[in-house]
Amino acid sequence: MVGLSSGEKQFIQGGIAQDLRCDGRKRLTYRPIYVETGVIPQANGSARIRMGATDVIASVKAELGKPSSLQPDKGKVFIHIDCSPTAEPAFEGRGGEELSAELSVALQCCLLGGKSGAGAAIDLSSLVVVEGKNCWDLYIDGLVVSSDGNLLDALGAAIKAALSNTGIPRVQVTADASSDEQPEVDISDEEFLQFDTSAVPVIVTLTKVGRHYIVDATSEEESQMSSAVSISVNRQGHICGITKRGGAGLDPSIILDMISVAKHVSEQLLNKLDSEIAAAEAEVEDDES
Amino acid sequence: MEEKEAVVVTPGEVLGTTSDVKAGRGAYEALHNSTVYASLTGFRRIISPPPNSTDQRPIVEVTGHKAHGPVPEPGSVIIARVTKVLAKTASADIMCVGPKSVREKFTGIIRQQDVRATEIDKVDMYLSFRPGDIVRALVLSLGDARAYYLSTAKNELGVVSAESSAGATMVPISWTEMQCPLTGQIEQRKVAKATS
Amino acid sequence: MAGKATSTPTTYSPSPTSHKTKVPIFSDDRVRPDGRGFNQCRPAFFRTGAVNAASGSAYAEFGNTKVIVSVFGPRESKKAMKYSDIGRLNCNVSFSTFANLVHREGSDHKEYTTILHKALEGAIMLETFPKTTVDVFALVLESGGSAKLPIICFSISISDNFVMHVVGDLSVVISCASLALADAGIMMYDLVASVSLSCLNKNLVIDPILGEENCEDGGLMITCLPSRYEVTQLTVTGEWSTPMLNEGMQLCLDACAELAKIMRSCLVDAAPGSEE
Repeated sequence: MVGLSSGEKQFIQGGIAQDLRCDGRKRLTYRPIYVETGVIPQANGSARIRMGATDVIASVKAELGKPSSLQPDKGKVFIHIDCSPTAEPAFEGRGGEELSAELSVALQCCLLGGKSGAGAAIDLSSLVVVEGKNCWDLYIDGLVVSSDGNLLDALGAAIKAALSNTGIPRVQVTADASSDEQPEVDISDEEFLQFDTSAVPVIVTLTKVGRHYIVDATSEEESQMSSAVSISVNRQGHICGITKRGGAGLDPSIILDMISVAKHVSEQLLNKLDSEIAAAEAEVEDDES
Repeated sequence: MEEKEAVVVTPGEVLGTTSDVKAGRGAYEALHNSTVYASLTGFRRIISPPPNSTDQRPIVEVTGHKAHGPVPEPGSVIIARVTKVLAKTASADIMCVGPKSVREKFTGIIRQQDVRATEIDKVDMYLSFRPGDIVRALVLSLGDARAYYLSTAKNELGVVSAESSAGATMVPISWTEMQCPLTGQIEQRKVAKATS
Repeated sequence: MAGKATSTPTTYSPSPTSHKTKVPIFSDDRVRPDGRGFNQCRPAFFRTGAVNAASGSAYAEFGNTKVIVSVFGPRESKKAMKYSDIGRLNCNVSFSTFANLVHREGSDHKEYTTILHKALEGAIMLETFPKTTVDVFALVLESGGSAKLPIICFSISISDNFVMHVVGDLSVVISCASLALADAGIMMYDLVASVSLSCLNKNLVIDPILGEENCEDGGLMITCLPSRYEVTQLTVTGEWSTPMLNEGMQLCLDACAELAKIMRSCLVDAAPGSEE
């Protein structure tokens, strides 16, 4: 919980109104982003993102499973976020559960795309091994290690980084089974397939404080918000998902304005993130060699 | 004074601008666009302002339709039935808020220091209330998560109706005593002054 | 497996191979499976006072979708709850056992509950009933043709593939709940109207039914305060270009305004003495 005096509140709000926030940033400036990939050896892919005091880890685990009968030509993706009480005492018990559920739902909305698969971060049909029989189940787990606001953007970025770090073992179908049986598959230990992460959008959360909105709010700034709109944007500049937090109403024209600002900001964020991920990946490879 | 119109309005309907009218009951003023909206369903009524007030805007209010059940608020006078008496507190179920009976159950407690106005540290709870007594009390505050804090520290507050152990409704005979009309037995209570 | 749904032509059409070669669900003349135009909502019907025991209640029927919402209270908050200066809103959304094509135990739906709560809390004057709780219980009697809800239930019940699309069209539940709150005499800033929309092959289809939603490229749900013209909830999934999104939002907002008119007339009709 953030306990602020009325003076501090005014200082935060006044600073935002004058485009100079408490940590010296402008309204539309992100905190420096640090990316580390391959932090969890047990996972197929993982990444840790730090933005100021916000620290999150995302891991991707792939398991062979059976496609659902409704969508036999698609794999499955599960997103789950955990808010550990080690990050903040308020996350213990129900508070953490609620936030975890809210973040999970928001990420599903922003990353999984429409029913037809348009705008999805991961092409589900690429996860199929044998249609109707075998597919990869992708478990994407996020963990909030330390929280200082803007968790959704950080988690979205961490998932993007983790996915680009993910290698899925190559699968050989050894015996072509008859129609009823499960085919036998041979999972390679050495050959891994990389994901195409170019379609993964980034999430830009615009937090409205007073009459202005800011990106990458700290928890102190978030405590002063009236509402926040999270917009996920991909490389093409298309909107892949929007969710809104906070009960206060927003004028539709402001939302449209926010969307165009988010599109603009997302471009810089995507470039920044891509170069950070590439640098982090290069580092991992250097360590290995 | 009152001009009645049989216009039914619903929540969110515009009743006027803040420069023309003032929001009364069942209406509110939105500051961002200086508009008065209805917040309830009911009849729109326009009341002319009291002639001596500086604000000459007429008051618009929404009345006459279903309102939700009354909720105790600090300052409201309530009628409650005592359910439990302990050494330091007495618990009571609130039955009426002002003139309206509640639809839901609300619990309140009267703490030892809130029973009467004088010698508040010498109050004996068992000589002030008994379970089953009907008391008139004032809501001091919203209290804690469990109960509203009630006070009977005024002349007109306290027990208004009580049954004796014989089962008859007792008659108040002093500030601290009530008598059973059947047996003549006198019991101790924090008696409320009867208001006409 | 899925019952093949032949008896209900306007709903689900399971064809496993159709995902790759998208089967156009519209014929050329811009008419939808149930005979509506693209910009046409299903006929909406509202009635307040459906449940006598409740402080307020409302029943809504949008095509096949039938929803009932009861409001109780304000009543004393549960003892376990922390003290709060302002009132609390407690929501619950559940489905009847026969709400869906596939029989399953009626159960609570946490995600919908959360969305309903978020959609309503901004419209209620919580400070008018301090420390107490208002309960809003919604029951989906039949989700026959309604949007997103059934699909999700479908995917849970038939398969283990639980892909949640939050857009979960609760719009009927949300609109109906706001009417029930108004009926209960809870002070509100405005009614709450909610409308959803699907984007299918570059077509914007308002108030989609199950079959349409199942192959949508994008979904949009707007919850707004119609008279104040403010958006309280906005959920978008799928891929959208900005002009498309703008158009979709505008369509939804216009539909919300229309919906609000129907809701208001329902309240006015129910008001005592308004007949003469």
